[in-house]
Amino acid sequence: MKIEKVSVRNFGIIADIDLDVSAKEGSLVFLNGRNGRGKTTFQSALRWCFFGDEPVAAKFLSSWALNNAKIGDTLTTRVEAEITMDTAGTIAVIERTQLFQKTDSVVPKRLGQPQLTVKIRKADAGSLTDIKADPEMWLQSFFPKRLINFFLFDGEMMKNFFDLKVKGAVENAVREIAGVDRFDNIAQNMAAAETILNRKIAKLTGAKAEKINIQLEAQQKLLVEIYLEWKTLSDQLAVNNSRSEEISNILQGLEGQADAAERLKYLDAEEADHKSKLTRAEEEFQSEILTNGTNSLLVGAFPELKKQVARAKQEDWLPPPFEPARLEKLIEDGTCICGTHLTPGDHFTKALQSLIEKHRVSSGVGKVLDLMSRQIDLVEVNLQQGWRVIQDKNVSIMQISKDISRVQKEKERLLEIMKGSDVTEIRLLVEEKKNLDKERERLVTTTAILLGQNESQTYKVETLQKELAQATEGNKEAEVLQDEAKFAREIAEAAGKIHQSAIKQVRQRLQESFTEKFAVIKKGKFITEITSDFEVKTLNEFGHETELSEGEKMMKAYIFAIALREVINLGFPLVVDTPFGRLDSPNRAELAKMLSKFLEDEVSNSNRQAFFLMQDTEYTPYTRKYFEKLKPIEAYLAKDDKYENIKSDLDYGIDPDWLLYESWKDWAEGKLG
Amino acid sequence: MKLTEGEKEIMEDFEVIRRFVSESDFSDEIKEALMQSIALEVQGKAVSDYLALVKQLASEK
Repeated sequence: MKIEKVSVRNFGIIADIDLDVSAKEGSLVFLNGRNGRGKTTFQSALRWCFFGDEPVAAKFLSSWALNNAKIGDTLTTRVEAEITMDTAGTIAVIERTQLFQKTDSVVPKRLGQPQLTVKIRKADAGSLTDIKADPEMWLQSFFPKRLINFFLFDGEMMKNFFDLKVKGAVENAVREIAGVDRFDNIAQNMAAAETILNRKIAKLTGAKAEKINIQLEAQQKLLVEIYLEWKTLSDQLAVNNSRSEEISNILQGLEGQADAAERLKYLDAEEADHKSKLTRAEEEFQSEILTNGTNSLLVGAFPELKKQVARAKQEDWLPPPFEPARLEKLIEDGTCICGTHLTPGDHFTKALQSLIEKHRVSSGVGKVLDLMSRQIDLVEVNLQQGWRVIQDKNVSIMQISKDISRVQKEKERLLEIMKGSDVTEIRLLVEEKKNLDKERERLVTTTAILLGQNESQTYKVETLQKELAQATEGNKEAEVLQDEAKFAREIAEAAGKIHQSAIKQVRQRLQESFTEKFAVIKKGKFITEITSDFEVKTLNEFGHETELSEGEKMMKAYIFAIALREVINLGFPLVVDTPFGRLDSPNRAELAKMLSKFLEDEVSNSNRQAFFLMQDTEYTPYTRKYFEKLKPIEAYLAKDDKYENIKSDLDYGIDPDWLLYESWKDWAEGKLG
Repeated sequence: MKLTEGEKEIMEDFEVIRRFVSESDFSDEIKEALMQSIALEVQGKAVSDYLALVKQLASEK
């Protein structure tokens, strides 16, 4: 996959540029520029175009465009990328736009939602065709959001990549590759198919089967609830364990600085609080999704039920008014209320008896339908409320996640300050660890109990499934459906189980690919292990974790990003802001070597590409030499003379302004050879 | 595997996922069912299509 052209209009400091590398050879693009000239903005524009992630309001609509507009003018922020998808030459053009209007306030008014259009052209076809159905979905299938951290990299953050939130990023990547969502969906859809089949079976085989099916659906719901609770507690257990481990590490070498320690303790509590809130919010979010999913399934049956209720109302079964006891009393007494004499077997008595029978049936049906119609209304109301709750939960999950990352950052800073602590602090930590251990015992017991409940609940569900099967015996049509329901269940279970093995396989492949590449930058018998909770560890030949230098850490992040592309067989480009950071010359040379190999490989019938966004201390004439063989395409973002603070322009080659300073000056004067 | 041309094209993109299925130790029936389910899944098909798939595969059993 290769980005051929990128047009950016009215996006932050980039008001009007067209980067076009389609006619140039080479798969490595260097987009250079001094600080504040829009390198990060360029990455942020790609992020918006491909993933729909918006920048902060102040960096969205360009100030230059806004300054040049009159009040009431409409302005369009637009990012368009043209990509070659494969070696056959399939072209995709992705365009995202957002309209704004200049108002008399400093803040422009947004008009409507951002619009995405995706057009593709096969190599042999002449014109572009619109992907009308669902362009977001199309985009997602080539640029999965879970892999965003491995597509748009920030070199400054890379050195900390395996210390900070990498576990989540690695887990996301592995889950994406293992197709976990797809298997999850298959399991859910198959379970839904089974439910529909069971309903049909119940309908075919009468009241008894229907009753069993209602129980079955209720028990299945309970089973899911038990599972979710178990999952929540298991997550808490994981949090507890990692905190416990953290304390053990701190305790290994503490002295002095009680204030920081005190604050740290407070932060720990705050973090735990946020985390438990997050777990709760996520659980509520999931259970709400689940309930809504179940309700949505029911909605399918509504039109038919509503028709039946309407008919019942029309034919006066609703509300069911009939009391057969009173009519029976008349027959028993031998006289009707109209005075007619009734004798057993005569015309009038027979007429009354048939009336009793007819109404008994319709009254029974009427009662059921009446109840149903009220339940339908309730489910529909629940469904509407449910979606609102889901949206609220989503917002609060995002907020809590932000809080957690803030707290974690401060904790990290304090831990850095606090190279040690006093004896009291050590005692407090020991105390906390004891409490954590106690809590862990409780969690372990509860999860074990839940596992037991899960087993007995599974047994209940299975028994009901068997009963339903028995109730269908003798009814040929129902028996066929029963076989289908059983098969649907088997597929659902298989789709549920394959997660584990898929994730394991991906972890193994990543480990192998990573270990092989890492050997190039760190000599010795090192292996890489991706643990079951997605930590990426570098182990020496004795199986101990190895300390890495800042440069090695950065290389490790690169290797991981490249290994990921190999394993996933996916060819999207690597776009890196400040790609070298703390890498020294030998490591830059190694990176150049590694990238050469990476860029030469063809993957999934498409070519690879990398974009590096650099300033002049990073991209020096010396660095340039390492990458010479790759024939990089050089372009730069520089200030527009007229509007230097609010608009950057693009050109190719080296920024002439750079040639006035230091090594670039020497290079320009031919002093570097 | 009885797949249409369109389905085959989609399946090509999911070679990795397909490999997980083929390397799993499920029975051949389940493997085929899973692979066809993946084809449905990547096309974003509705539950009714899953029902049709189950019906078709169950009748072949």
